[in-house]
Amino acid sequence: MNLPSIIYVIILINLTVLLAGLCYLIYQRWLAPQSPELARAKSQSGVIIHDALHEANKVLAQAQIEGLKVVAKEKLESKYLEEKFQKALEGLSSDLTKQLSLSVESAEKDYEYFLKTLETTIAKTASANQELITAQTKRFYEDSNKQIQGVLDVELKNAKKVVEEYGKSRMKAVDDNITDILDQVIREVLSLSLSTKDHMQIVFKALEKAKKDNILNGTI
Amino acid sequence: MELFNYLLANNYTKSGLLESVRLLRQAVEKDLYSSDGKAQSLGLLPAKLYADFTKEDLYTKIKEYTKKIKELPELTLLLPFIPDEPNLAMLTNWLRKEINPSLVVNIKLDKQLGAGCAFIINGVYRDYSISNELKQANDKIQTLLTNFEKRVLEVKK
Repeated sequence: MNLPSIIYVIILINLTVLLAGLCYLIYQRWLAPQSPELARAKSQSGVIIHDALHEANKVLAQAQIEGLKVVAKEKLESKYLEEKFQKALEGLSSDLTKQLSLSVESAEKDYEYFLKTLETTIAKTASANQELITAQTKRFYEDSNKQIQGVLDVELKNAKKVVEEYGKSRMKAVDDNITDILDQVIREVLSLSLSTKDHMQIVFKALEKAKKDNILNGTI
Repeated sequence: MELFNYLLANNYTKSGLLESVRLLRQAVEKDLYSSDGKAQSLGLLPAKLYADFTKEDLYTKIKEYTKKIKELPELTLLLPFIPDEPNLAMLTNWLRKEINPSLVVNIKLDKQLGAGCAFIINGVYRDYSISNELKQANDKIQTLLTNFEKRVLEVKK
């Protein structure tokens, strides 16, 4: 025997066993004969169940009716309460509005009075502060003015002194150098303006002076 | 001596005199040793002044002249300008007349003098220039300036 044939036989055997088990179960469930006690118990239990269902339906119907009644009653009561609450609310609202109006008026009056008082107080304080600031500013200005004037006087005095000293030193320097300056200027002027004839005249004048000073006589 | 006096009269400096003596020697040499026997005109000296030179005494006399020139009294004169020949002659003649007839001058240029002159006599410097006059007047100038400054300050007040 080959392998497919073996598998086939095994499957066939299994199917056979399965079929046998199924037949046994069908038999046990529906075809096997019942005992009388069991049949009676089944009948009684059926009656009991039927009665129980009937009672349960009755109870359920009654409960539904009672529920509906309660709901209807609750609806009526809630409507009444709503109307009553509405009236009370309206009354309360009116009272509150009046009270609030009175309070607002009172608050407005108080606020106006407060503003006026505050305005007066601020004006008085501002005026006092203004006078104080003016006085302090004036005093500060005067003090500063005096200080600045003092400093300026000192600085001016120092500056004048420095200028005078500088002028003196410059004048002294000019005085010290005036001869050199004049000498330089004269030499420049003479070199530009004198002719040879002029030079010769000055040279002879110088020689005459030397002769007069006895520098030339008998020295050579 | 006539020749030397002539040279001295026409030259005012030692260098000029020495140059004249050198030219004289050259002229006499040509006169004495030239092949054509004709005297060369120097143009500088009259021919009669050097006609007495002979070949024997030429160099002795030249040497004597040179020595005499070097011994001449010299005045170093500092001027702020360089004089031309006529002015140099005028100056030298004046100095020879006033100081010494044999005097020669040594001219030096010194522009710092400005005007006037300075000279060196026996190694001593004498300044007669405008520049020196100004230095001498320094005290007077200072006094003038001080007075001027005082007057300015008074006017300011």
